[in-house]
Amino acid sequence: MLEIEKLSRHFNGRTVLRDVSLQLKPGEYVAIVGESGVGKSTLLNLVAGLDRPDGGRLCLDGEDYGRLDEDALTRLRRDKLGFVFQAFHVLPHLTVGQNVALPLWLQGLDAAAAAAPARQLLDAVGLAERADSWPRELSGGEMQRVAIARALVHRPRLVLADEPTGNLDPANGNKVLHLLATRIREAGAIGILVTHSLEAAATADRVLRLTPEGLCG
Amino acid sequence: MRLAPVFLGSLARRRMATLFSLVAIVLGVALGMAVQAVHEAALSEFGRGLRTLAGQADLQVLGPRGGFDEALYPLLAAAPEVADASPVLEIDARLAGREDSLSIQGVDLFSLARVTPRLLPRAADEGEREGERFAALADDALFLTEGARQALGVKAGEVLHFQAGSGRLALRVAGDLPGLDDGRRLAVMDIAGAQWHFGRLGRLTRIDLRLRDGIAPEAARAVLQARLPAGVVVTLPEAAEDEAANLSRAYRVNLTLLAAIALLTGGFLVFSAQALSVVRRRTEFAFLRAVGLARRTLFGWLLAEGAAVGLAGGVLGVALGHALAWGALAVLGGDLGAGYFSGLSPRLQFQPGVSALYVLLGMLAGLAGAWLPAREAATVSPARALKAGDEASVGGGRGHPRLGLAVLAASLPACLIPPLEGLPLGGYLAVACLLAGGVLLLPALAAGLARLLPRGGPVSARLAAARLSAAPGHAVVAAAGVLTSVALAVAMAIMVASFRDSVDQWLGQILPADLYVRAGRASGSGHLDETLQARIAALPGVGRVDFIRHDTLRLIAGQPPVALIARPVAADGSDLPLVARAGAAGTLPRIWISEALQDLRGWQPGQQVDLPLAGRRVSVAVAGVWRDYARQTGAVMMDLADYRRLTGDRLANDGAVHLGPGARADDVADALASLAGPGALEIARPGEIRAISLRIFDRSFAVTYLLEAVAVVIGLAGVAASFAALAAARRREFGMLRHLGLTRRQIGAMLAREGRRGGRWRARRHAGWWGHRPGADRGGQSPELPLEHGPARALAVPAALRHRAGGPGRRGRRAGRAAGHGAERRAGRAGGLVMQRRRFLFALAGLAAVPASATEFARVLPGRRLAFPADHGAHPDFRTEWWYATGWLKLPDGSPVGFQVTFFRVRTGLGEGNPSTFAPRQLILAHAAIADPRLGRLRHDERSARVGPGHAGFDTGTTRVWLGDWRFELGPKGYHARVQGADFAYQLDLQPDGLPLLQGQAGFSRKAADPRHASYYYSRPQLRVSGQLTLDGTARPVTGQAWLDHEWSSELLPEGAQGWDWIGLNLDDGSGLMAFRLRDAAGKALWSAATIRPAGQIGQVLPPEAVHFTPLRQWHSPRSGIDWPVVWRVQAGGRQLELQPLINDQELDSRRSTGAIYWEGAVRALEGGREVGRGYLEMTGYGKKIRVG
Ligand SMILES: Nc1ncnc2c1ncn2[C@@H]1O[C@H](COP(=O)(O)OP(=O)(O)O)[C@@H](O)[C@H]1O
Ligand SMILES: [Mg+2]
Repeated sequence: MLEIEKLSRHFNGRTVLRDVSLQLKPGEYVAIVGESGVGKSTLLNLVAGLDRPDGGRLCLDGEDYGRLDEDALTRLRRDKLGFVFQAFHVLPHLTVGQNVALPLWLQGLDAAAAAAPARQLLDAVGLAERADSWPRELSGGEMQRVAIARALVHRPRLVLADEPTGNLDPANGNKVLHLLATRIREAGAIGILVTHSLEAAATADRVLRLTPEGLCG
Repeated sequence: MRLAPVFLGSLARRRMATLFSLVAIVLGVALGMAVQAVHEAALSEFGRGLRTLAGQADLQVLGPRGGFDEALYPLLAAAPEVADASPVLEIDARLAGREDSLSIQGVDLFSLARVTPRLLPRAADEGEREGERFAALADDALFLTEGARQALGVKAGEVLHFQAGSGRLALRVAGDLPGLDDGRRLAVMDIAGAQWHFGRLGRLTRIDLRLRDGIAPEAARAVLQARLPAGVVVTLPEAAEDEAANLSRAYRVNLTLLAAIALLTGGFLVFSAQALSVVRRRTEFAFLRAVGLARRTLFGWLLAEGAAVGLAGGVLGVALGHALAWGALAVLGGDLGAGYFSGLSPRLQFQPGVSALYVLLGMLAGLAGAWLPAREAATVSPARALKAGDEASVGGGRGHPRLGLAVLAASLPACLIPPLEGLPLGGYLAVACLLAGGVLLLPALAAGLARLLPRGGPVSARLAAARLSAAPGHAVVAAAGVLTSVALAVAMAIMVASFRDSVDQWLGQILPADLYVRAGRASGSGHLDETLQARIAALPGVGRVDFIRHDTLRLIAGQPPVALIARPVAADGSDLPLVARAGAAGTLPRIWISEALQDLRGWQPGQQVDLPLAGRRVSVAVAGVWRDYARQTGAVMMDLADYRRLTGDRLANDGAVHLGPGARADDVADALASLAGPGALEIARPGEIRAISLRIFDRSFAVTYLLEAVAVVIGLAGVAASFAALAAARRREFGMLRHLGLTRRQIGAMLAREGRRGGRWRARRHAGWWGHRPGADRGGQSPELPLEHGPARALAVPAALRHRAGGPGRRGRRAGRAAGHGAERRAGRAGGLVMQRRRFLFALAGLAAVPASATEFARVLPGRRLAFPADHGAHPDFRTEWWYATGWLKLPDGSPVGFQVTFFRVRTGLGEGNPSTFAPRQLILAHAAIADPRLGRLRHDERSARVGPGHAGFDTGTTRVWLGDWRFELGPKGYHARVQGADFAYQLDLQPDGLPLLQGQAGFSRKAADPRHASYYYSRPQLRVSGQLTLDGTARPVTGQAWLDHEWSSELLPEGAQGWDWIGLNLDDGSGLMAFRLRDAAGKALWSAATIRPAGQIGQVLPPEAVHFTPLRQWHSPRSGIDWPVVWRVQAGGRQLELQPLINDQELDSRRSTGAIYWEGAVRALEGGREVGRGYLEMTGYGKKIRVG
């Protein structure tokens, strides 16, 4: 259960987010759309614990994490969150399989223990036989599928995706979006997709619009 | 380790940057390691050499190079603190007609055995002729180490020619030095021969002292020093090692610091590589942080990346360093060409500790380089960094300009800090300040510079300007660091070059004459005597000759000696390169001191100081200070006339020849060359000397040049790598720019401009700074220049070192000595030239075979009447003589022990014409033993020495013979024997009860049918003994009976003698019996004799056929395997006695010293099963056949 309550964020005196509230249940997958520069990424960063709100409350499964210290937040991200970025961030010097296993490594699993779940997830995104490939051998769409596998491999409670198709052509983008939606639902996680494209947003269960006034359904 | 692939994998991907960092660290570590390893090897070799030469010496007495009066030797030998004193005359003997020289130690073999046994020589054909042991005493016998033998290419028996004075000297290679098997070049000869042949009569250069047990060296040092004349110092051997280490320390530190600069450059390269990599991986780290990598973990892993590079670099560097050191040792020698340790062949040793330290240093360089970038990466906010396109902003701020300025400014006062213990620490601090200041300041300067850039100009110029002002971050800092180290290395090269320039000018100033002539180098064996000086001055074409005398002065114990140069000096010193002078001239002799000496002693112009000259303190006035680039340990210059007046020394080492009008240098040079024997004089022109000096300069700086070159190369590679990395980091920017229409060439130009802008300026700045201080570390890197001119490595300091090489050095001995005495010393003695008793007789007989001996020995003839007391004294004209006392003692508890003490006098036949007081004409050897039934075997000890200065001698006219504190003498109340052995001691009074018992025909005792083999021989039976015996530290009163033999002869033993049996018995009825027989190989008696003296009567001589020896029981020695007939029946005249030993084991095994095993012991005499007397039995020749001549 993710509860966002009256969240606000200002930059240099300029208010970007004001009193944004949102509640999501496990298995719920929402898309947030809005103009470029309206604060979608800012909101997502706050939810991800990468940035601190200037006001309001953030609660995941009853834990208020808006005021946690840096290390606790890092642990929270490591254990409960999964990310898909526009820029893939697939590490070039790790194999596809290792990239997917990375969140498990961070949790302390050794390479052998992490390999099986990673392979399972790779299978789920249709890249099972590419586990030992290097990222440079993959296409953009495949890279993002690797990123999706990586975002889910450690069974996060919350999956955040910021413009995951921004660097992809429409066909590949579509495929990735559907895959993402499927995987999130299957995992029973809460999913938030931030995008400026309505078409992309349509793959989510619910679409919310972020405006300077706030979130509206 | 789970995350290792994430980080270390990234290193592998950045191959070029990683490789550059790695190579830089490898080189830095390798150079440091090599310098360290080479010097370590050289120093340990040097120290080892010193320790070997110092042997078991606790203290060493050292003087100026010219040596000191040998009268100090008996003075010190007799000092109560001193157990043994070993006089040494060290000569740096120049090989005739050759450039090289050989260090010859003129030694007294007898004291050597007790102080520095490893120096003991071994005659080439040892073993064949016992007497040849004395060949070592021959004045022309030279013993070489294997290293010297190989280097000189000679074999035993061949002759080496040396220059002595301006003449030639032939020495015979008589054997080797088995104790010195480490490749060192060294020779040993008898001190008397050395003094005589090298014109050093009455002089010693060193005395090694072994102190009595329980005497603390420090305390003894103070006591002894007070008794020595000025300029002669007592030092602990350890001090000499430190002295050597100190001498080259500044040089080593400088090289190490150069290596450190290379390492620092390596660190900066790691920094540069890591900084750029952090920039490049900024989003990667942000991502990792976003997905849950803790900040600390990230920081740790980034440090680990640097550490990994550093560790790999360290390990490879240490390996490469050892390889380099190995090569350097082979090519440049142990001092890396600086001339500190010539003549050594050091061996490289792997030192795990030091190697680990250098690996650690490499790792630290990697860590330090990675630190800032890691911190930077760990503090970046992931949210920001994750935004695409954020890479362009390179962190690192603007440096710390104020701090930088302050640190730069601090380098100025740092330069003024005076050297600490000879190390220019201030200079190093200043360098460090410059580096740190530069690094702190450069980002701000770069930014400032960027603002000044023209706004116009080509597109690429404008972009570069914008770039520089936008991002003067770590990349710039890194490049700046690399550049700074390069600049530093360049500056040092400039500094050395300008130093070389001043040295060149200085050489011109101190070499004003047209020709220079010398007889070998100053420390060596050559010199110009007065006659030769006069002949040189009288040569046609010679206008004026300034003769120069070189010596050294010991101003302070434990510090290297100071050079003394005596030559004609202008009254105002204007012909010296003066840097300061005193005002008014007084009446005192004047000296001019070098700057180094001024620094060392703080003497000021005008000051009155004391100099130790010729063993006296002489007051002199410091008339000025002159510049001396040649001797870092200081030099004193004085006028030759003053020197001659004060010391009486009229020799010279060199002459500076000024040509007369119209004379041609070539003609004069030829005339000079033909003055003395071929090759005796070296003639050189100033130009040659100058060229050689500069060559030596270059050689001593060769490694410095090399290190600088490497630092520059690493640095330049680093600059290239930095900018390559920068370019890589900005691929995107360039890609964008190219999209915008910049050509590749424009981008290249832009990069080049960015590189130049920072670099050029920095290099110029540092070069300028250093260029102004050419002598910044004069005290440190001081090269060794040949002021003592001539075509040679006339390096004053190494010469001084060699001069001392005979010295010092021995650690941890006191502990061993305290722990338990004896073993070490006994082992030492065992290798000696010491002789055992009768075994010694054979040796004496063997003396006839010494080829050098043409000596006429007095002959033993029948009919000579022995006259007393005169015949109690020594008979030095005869070859050999002994006073030989044996007897039984009773301890307070009634238990018996046997004792024996013998003093031998030997006329060697050697040194008869040698005026040296050490001439080995007469030797004293003493041997003592106690037969101790509680121990079940003998305690024994021995001494030997030549009669001469020191503590061994004899009297004619009465019995008086002594060797150290061992003595045997006849006083009004009888004989007195005093012995101080290793594990026993005794003082006994032996009172005769009648007239001497003349053996043979009124004292003419035949040893064979041939009457030539005979001795003069009388005995004193029935001596009443009282005195004190010390066993195991407990002194107890004793009483007893003894027997004394006094016998002298020149030709004793007949051919074919296998050995002999001898008895001397005191019978209870007051009579005395002496009997002996000589056996042939079959055990048959060759000759027998016996004398019986009934109580109160005169002796009766028995005919040979009336004496019979019959062995009854044998005892098998478990040590030697010999079966000794320890029970005998002896028939002499009417008496038939059975001899029973006090203990079976009275065997004396002296195979290690003399090769002989004999049995010498207390026996009881029984008649009809009843004890009727006691005495001594001696048996020889039961092992192998004894060689007699
Ligand atoms: N770290 C920051 N500092 C200042 N302004 C920021 C920062 N992050 C975002 N902003 C501003 O907040 C606004 C919203 O940005 P963002 O959330 O990235 O928009 P978008 O909806 O396109 O994702 C923008 O106007 C941006 O300039
Ligand atoms: Mg956005």
